[in-house]
Amino acid sequence: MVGTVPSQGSRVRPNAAQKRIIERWLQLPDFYSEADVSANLLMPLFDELGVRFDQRKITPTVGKGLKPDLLVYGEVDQPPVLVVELKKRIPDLANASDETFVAQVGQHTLYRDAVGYTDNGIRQYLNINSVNPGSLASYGLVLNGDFFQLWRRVDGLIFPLTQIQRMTKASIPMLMQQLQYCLEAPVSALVTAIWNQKGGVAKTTNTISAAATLALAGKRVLLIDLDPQCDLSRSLLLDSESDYLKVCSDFVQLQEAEKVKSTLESVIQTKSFATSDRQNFELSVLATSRTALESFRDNTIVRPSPIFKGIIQALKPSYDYIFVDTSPTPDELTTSLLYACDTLLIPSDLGGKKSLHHAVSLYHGTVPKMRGIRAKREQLHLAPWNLGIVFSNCPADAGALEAMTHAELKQLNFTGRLCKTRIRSFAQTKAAEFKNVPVICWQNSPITKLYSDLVNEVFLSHNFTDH
Amino acid sequence: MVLAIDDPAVTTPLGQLLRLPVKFIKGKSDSPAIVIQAIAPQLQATGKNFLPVVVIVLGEDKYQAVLNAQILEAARLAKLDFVWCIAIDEAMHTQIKTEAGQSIQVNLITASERSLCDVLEYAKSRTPALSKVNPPLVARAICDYRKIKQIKNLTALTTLRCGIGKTKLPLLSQYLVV
Repeated sequence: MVGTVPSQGSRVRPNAAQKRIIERWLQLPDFYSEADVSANLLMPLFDELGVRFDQRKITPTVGKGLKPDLLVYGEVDQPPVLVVELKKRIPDLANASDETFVAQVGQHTLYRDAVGYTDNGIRQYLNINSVNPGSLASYGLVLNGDFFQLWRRVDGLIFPLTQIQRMTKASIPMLMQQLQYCLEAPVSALVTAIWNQKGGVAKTTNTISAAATLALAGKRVLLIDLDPQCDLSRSLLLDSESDYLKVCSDFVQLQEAEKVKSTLESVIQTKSFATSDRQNFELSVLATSRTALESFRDNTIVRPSPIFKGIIQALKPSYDYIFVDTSPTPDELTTSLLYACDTLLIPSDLGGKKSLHHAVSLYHGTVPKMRGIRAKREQLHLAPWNLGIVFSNCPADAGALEAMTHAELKQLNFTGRLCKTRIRSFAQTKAAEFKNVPVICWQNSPITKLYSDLVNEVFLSHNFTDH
Repeated sequence: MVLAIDDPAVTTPLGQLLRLPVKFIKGKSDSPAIVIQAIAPQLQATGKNFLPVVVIVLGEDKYQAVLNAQILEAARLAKLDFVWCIAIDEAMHTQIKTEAGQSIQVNLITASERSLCDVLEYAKSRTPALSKVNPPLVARAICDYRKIKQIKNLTALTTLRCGIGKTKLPLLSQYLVV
């Protein structure tokens, strides 16, 4: 299977190629220039990974004023797979204690420059709006001989693929495996949840509308209804009595990936929609019954989260985007969602005190905590990442609510991101529910414009998150 | 209700009934083939075992059957994908061995002379290398020694002139503890 890597904490026995890189790394002086790190560590590392010279471009110009240290190609006639930003090795980081290393790196100018917080870095070199399409990579690497970290780009969105890692004898084989994974350029859907613990904040409507907007933009999109109320499936006039969760549960435990995949393929329903301006788009939906979801949720023998994650893993190669909808109730289904998703967009009512409270708690508490838990088990696809809070159900006369909302967020010590796009209330949204189609089918409706703006802001145009 | 965040995949719960994939459990039983052949059709008919296989967790998706391995072998023979198990740790394993009558341990410091004698008789019956041990003599010697000195470990037995030498200590340590 492509891209399987050992879980975090498990030691990798180095192979001969990895041993040769370890030997080289052990010889590096604590103070070593960027050019030397490139010549004596990075280039030999790509040699060992079997990357040919014609698959590398050193200090290429990828856009106006943008010159990363290296582009690595999988196929020479395709856009690059990986962009690399190197920094020099310095004694401060080489001799830092393990306990403080990650915090020290996170604050250090070398790392911050490499990522692009303060200077041109990975953030700029993966920018879909300013890099030439032929030079736009899917993954980024920052490295200085002591720290390394991989980043991922999906359309416009850039986010960390791994934690900041320390280069050691034990981690060099992992770095090489992680790079090998990136070089194989696996197709892997971005899994997103639009979720808040507060009900009535337009979770399902936002999920269907964002998914439909992406599908209309030509993306392969799957919706998973994990809410026992089955509102998403009902909204699209889809129902299913198939208990794929029970069948897949056995196959996931048995690690029979092909059987998981074929079971899912047999129950996924695809529905076509036409827009008012005669465009067509398709949404794939994975639905099941209320009883099946409740039985999955309440299973005391097998916890649902690892099973649902296995199901998501089987689905990822077949789609560009996967959206999962679940109920606001904090339960095993919600945990499953957070255990499997890459990104979380938090809808909240503008001025809704309770929904704001839950949104901030999710953003600053639950999401980083779940990421910490997942980091202990997974080297790659570190997640979930916050996409921000999106105000939904905004009344036309928001006026005073704006100030009250900002005051409340300040009081809650919210330092995260608020989406610029605000989803306002329109009668068209309700009308779409009656017609059982996504509201964006009405292309001239102002709500369609708002969803288009939201999807562009969050997914399709340049966007960066490390929250 | 608050969203409780824990690691949903962190460990196999110990002491609880679990349904585990047969292919991830190592283990072979001492039972004759005829026993396993008799169990297999029963498992095939009901689709499940009622007596759980007791397993020790070796790693992620790696288990070792330590009790009732005949059921595991029968499940393999019946081509079942899953078998009902109870996962245990080493401490629980000791208790289970006692519960199953596979292990008896008596405390040298606190046991009565009668208990010491009984456990030594039991050890003698189970272990051919202990056939020459004289249980009443050894039990008496232990009790006399306890009156004047504190027993700190099993090595004390070798000083009692009761027929217990160094070579027998590892065998006796299965039955006698301090």
